[in-house]
Amino acid sequence: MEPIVRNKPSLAKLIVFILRTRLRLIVSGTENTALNIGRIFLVIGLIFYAFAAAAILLVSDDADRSFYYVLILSSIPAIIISSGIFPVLKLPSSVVPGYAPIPGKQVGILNLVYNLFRPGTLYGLIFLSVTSSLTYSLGPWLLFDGILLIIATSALDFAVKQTVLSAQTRGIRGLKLLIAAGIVNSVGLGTYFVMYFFTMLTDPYVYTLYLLLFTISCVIYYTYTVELTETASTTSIFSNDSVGSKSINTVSAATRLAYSRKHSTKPMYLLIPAFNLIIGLYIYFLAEETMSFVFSLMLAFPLLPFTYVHNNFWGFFRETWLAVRLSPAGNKIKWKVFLGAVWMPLLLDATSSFAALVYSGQFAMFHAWIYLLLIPPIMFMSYWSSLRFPRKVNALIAINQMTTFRNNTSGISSFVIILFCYLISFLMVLNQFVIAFFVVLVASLIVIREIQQCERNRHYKLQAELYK
Amino acid sequence: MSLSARNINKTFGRLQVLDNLSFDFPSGCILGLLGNNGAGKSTLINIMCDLIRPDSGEIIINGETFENNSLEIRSKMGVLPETGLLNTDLSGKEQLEFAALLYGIKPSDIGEQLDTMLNYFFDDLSLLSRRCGTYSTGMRKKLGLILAFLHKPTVALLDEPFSGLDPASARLVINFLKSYKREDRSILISSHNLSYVQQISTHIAVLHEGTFPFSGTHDDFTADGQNQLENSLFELIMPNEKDTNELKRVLA
Repeated sequence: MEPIVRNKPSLAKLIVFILRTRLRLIVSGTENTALNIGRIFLVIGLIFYAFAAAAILLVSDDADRSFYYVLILSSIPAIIISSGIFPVLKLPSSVVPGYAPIPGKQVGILNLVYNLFRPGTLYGLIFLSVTSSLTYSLGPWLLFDGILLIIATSALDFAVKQTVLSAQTRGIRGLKLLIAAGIVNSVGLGTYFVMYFFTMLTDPYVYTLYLLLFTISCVIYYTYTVELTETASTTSIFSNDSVGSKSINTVSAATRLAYSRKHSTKPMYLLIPAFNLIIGLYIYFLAEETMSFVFSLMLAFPLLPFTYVHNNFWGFFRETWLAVRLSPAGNKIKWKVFLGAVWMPLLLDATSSFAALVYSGQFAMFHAWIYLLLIPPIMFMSYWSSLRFPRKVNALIAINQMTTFRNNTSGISSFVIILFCYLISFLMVLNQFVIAFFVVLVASLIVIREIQQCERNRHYKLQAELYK
Repeated sequence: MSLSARNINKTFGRLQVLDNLSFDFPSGCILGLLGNNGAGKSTLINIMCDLIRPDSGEIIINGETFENNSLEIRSKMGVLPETGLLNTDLSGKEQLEFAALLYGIKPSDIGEQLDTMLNYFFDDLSLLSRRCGTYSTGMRKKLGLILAFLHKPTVALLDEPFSGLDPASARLVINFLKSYKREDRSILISSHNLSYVQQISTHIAVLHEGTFPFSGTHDDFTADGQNQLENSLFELIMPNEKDTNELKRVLA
């Protein structure tokens, strides 16, 4: 064999490759033809939606335009976050093997590109690029602000998953508070920026500047969580509690190096969420038009069904259907599985429509009855779907995915989520922003605790089955 | 390329995995790394390919260390990790293209070599268009091997290359490694399958309690004759057979 000519790896070519394969994933990411066709329809639907958004921006008068601008921007984080969390939870991963001859900084760039350009983010980008390209002078602003929002949302999404859902973060002191602070901070700052945005026509730079700060804040928060969890993972590889811990190959080169040199910058990073928490409090004391944020979410929610599709929602239903047909035990619980998947969208829609109805002054006794009637079936579905599946069914992949989701949403936690959603909506309607802020904080802590408890149970179950 | 280590120490928490480990293996060897589960074989391989750094000591590959020339050493190294072999979102073909890009190789330069290797390991190449997430364990392992040898590395570190392979595939791997062996190439294989290691290794290192109770040529290790690898290994890591009488009693 002749020696091979090796050149310096080209960062540009590697980025192009990652983008190309990520784009392909949108329309042909599975072996399931029906799902791939569904994804193509999804892209077409998204483009139509972008055309409609651009048309609204073009035909609306000056007074309304900034409002619609906010609505359109708000839909982008909704696409990304909802597509990232439902129904299968995924952590950011490393695309470059740690042993590849690529410098650490370039590895970081490639991993960032790979994780940023998930299908959900790509949907956001497609929507953003079509809308901004059709809106003339407003287009560049929309594009720039949209990209900032995409980066911020992705960073926040990763950060929360990285810390909350990763098994390695158990027992890290103060972590839950940090995560809760990050979530609250994002809500608070997001609200603040939306409020500021209403001054866009007179002073657009202020909004963009604050958006930039928000993005930087989210990215720093993400960086912190990555370091925290990866360091924890590295230390736990050979500990007694290592089942389910992350493979060493997924730990970034920079973190490995930092850990190996016993170099830690934890104290510095600890200040960031604390600082953000104080800023968030300060902002809430100032906020006066926070309700606009609630209303702006209304445009985002019609997009949720699209994002479910990308995340194997169609494929999930189909594959689950096939899976349950394979075993008599599975067949018995098929409705439990499907209804279990439906309750979350119902909850989201109910909460958002409730807030919008109240805000627009159209809330009537008739609606109150609807909500009173709606809560018990949602509760029942969430509780029912959280009951244990037969073991034979558990072994099936599709059901396993559902089990992960189910474990993270027990009946009690779903009840708490519903209550808090309504409570927050009420508080915001009543302009009680400070109280709402603390309610969000407490809700975050409860949800995080619940998720961690479920993860722990899953971990112990896994251990028990391994050593059975 | 020669493989050497000087006073490697590695601890995880309170567990000392590698204890002042030193070795020298000549260029052209196929080194079989043996040891119990949890003996530190994978840790040693991870240190040798710079995935993790030792607490102290250094790895020397052909006179160079990772501290001095990490990228150059890595570019000449092929690695088959035990886990995290393939990106499940990519197809087999994309995986190969990505590996070529990572090592700065033009696909046209390795066309014939790649075709030959693929045809050697796979009967049905159309499977390579499918996502790696759908591959069987054996197929993943074989593709991982091709990825490790795509750039003709002068040092190959293979962690459990035979696990999950059927006997026919294992035979393919053994013959492949024999074909790849040359004077300027070194291959390290960590495996629990003594039969396969016996067939290909020129050198043996036994890792036990953080050190090498034996490291040397295969012939020295099995001085008693052919097929004595297992006995020689057990003499080192489990000199006394565990009593099974109590076990028989409770299982009766």
